[in-house]
Amino acid sequence: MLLDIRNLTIRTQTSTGLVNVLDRVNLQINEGEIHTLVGESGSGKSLIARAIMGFLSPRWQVTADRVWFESTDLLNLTPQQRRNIIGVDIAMIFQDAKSYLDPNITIGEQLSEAVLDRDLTGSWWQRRGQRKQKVITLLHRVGIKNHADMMQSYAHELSEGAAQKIMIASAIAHRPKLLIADEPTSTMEPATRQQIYRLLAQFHARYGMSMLMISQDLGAIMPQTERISMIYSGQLMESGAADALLTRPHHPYTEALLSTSLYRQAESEPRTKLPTLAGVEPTLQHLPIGCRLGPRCPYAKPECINFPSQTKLRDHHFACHHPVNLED
Amino acid sequence: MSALLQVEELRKVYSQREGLFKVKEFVALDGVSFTLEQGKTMAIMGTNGSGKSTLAALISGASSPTSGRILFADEELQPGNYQQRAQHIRMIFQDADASLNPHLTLGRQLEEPLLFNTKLNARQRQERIMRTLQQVGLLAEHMVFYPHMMSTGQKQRASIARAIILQPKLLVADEALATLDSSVRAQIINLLLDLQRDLKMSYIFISQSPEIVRHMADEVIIMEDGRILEYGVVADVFDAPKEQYTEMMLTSELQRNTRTSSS
Repeated sequence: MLLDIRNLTIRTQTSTGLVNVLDRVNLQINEGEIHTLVGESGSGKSLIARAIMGFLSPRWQVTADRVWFESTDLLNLTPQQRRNIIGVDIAMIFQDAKSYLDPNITIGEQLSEAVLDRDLTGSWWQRRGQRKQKVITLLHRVGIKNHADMMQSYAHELSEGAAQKIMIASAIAHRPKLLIADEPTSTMEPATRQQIYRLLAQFHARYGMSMLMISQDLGAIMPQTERISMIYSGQLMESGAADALLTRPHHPYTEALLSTSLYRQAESEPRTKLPTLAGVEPTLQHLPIGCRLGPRCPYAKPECINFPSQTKLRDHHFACHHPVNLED
Repeated sequence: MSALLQVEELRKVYSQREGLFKVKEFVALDGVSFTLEQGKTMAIMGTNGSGKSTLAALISGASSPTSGRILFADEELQPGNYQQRAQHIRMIFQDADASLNPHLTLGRQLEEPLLFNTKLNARQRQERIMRTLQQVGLLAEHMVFYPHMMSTGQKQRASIARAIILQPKLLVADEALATLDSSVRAQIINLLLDLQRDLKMSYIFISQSPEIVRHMADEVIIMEDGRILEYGVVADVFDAPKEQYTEMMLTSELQRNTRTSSS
């Protein structure tokens, strides 16, 4: 197991007291697996990524039974370990690639910062040459042919797709074992999105790199995904193999999201009403007790005020008192 | 029977001075014409920079065309005549957070178009605001809410309320559903379909998602580099795309469908 997260809980102080923003979330990623985390905005999926990377400010209290990367505890890293793991073995790319690039320096300079000194040998001019050569290789690897132009340009001159490719190039500079992608394509148009997904799939096939993809829309997930985890309002609802989860979801939330997703409606009559969950996602100040889907769930019963324990059915985990699609 | 909106040979050129004498021209729209009947939905699809947002800006009067004309109910729209447009053509935008004024309560924001465009008195205005809030699925209590107190879906509902409060005939939606969560998006789609049925509004719907276009629109325009590439009834264009470009716009959907059917 590459990444093993057990009972990750993240608390923060709000006007109504200390709130569990993330409530006992389990997440396991195997070597070479593409895992997609799906949840609507504000459900805490980015918090998980940030907790893994250690980006959270002290106002978020992170506790967990374990957050292990291989055999290292990610919650108690020494500065030395952090330098060796974060950004090297675990890399991350973000939604708005352009705003993560430095506007003041050229793309070539930024990428050469991603090349570590310890990978270079020889005298300073030899090292400079090697550094430049590595940057050019990186650019070629993400499919940018005219590297000379690209190295001279600034972030604002790039299109969204190109900026994301630069982010990917600097993320894969050290052949990470795990790449976390926080909604890398959600603002892109469909054609560019396919391009980025193809590129990531290529690296996955070539280096056997594991990926944690984060997405807010079941209709726009990466096609090569092997496992999907559904998260709602900070609670893990369901987790399972992608094909099984998309065809036979056991949790009412997954079922509802699938039916609202338009790509499943291709055969349905246009201009008909779409089935959807009523109401809105709860705010942090007014979180429901127990299963947080309760107030919006069509199957909710009184026992739903206790959060159900995880049920395991072969490889498929779900947390619900009234699972659907169980009969064979 | 004449059309509600008739766009004839619309052309928009942005020119930029380069040096002392040289003028660089960028043709954003090049000879675009189409007609839209009352109560129908026209979808506009295209990649970034294909001119679809320029078209929306010209129709809503945010900028004026270089040549060509727009007829609205057989009347030519004059650039800068906001009395004429603001009553009948309204817009909703992609980013609901940014399109509402954070300093005003929702009630005040909905009252402003009424103050500027109608002769209603204070009580009638209040009644109209409450009725509109109910139409979009919000409560009368939301009048005293500031935008930051509402969720994204509620904010998009509020900006739809602001758009329909003057009972317009045409609503221009520029990527209005792109950033919403899928359950909220389904709610807003249902709402827009309901409103269209009840109020007989026409929509111009700018979107990049083939699924949404197939579900909402009657006719579709595919744009590339400021020109209309394909124009026709949605089912015809989607089932038998003439151009490779159109196919490319639709591939994402096709790929996903093959994946779900094979699994």
